[in-house]
Amino acid sequence: MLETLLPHRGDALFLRDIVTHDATSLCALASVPRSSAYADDGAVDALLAFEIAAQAAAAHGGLSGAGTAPAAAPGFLVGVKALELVAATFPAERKVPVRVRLLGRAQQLASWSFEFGEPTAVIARGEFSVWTA
Amino acid sequence: MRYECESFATTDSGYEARIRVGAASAFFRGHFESAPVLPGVALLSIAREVLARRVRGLPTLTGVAALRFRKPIGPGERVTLEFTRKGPGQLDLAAHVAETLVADGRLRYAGEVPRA
Repeated sequence: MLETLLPHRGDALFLRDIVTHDATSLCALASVPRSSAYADDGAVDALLAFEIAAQAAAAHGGLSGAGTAPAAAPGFLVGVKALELVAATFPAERKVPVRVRLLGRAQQLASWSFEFGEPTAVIARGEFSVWTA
Repeated sequence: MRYECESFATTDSGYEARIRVGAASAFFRGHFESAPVLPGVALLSIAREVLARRVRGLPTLTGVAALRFRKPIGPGERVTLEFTRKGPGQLDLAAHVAETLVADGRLRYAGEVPRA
């Protein structure tokens, strides 16, 4: 199902399951394969959190039909801010929750906040903007 | 190979690196199949790694104040990364392909970024 919502494929697709979603938010589980370019000896760079969150936002767009383009059209991450890296890495292959919340939308540009990790063990949090083609 | 660092130099205000991410790089796999684009996170990851491998005593990257990805970067393009110290624990990053600014913003470190 996720392949119908996102244009990412193979090692670049990090979402595994959609847990919940509503009009302005989505919670999903993500994992990163050991073979990923962002993994080194089983540890994944926590910077990847905002890319994972952007995929969650894109999935939300597909589920809600909010996008103006067909499902799985590429959305481009155009900015990240207030990114806080609480941890340096997280384990490859482990399913980690990601929560995204829509902050605002103006035509094809949407702003989101995100939190990556268990609520009691956050790995990274911040905000990002995505432009949908 | 994920990327090549073709040059690295110190400048009056920080550091400058020239990198190239080839079409065969794992960073492009699956992103996207019809039109490969370097993920923004890949550019940031490379920038951090290039600096960490060459600057002795570089503190831990703790976050990003703000970073704009202005233009997509395609396979094989050469990217110049300019790092400029901006006060304690802050480092500005500007990335250019030829003369075009493709990304810029401010990174946060746990401590002062060393001078060369």
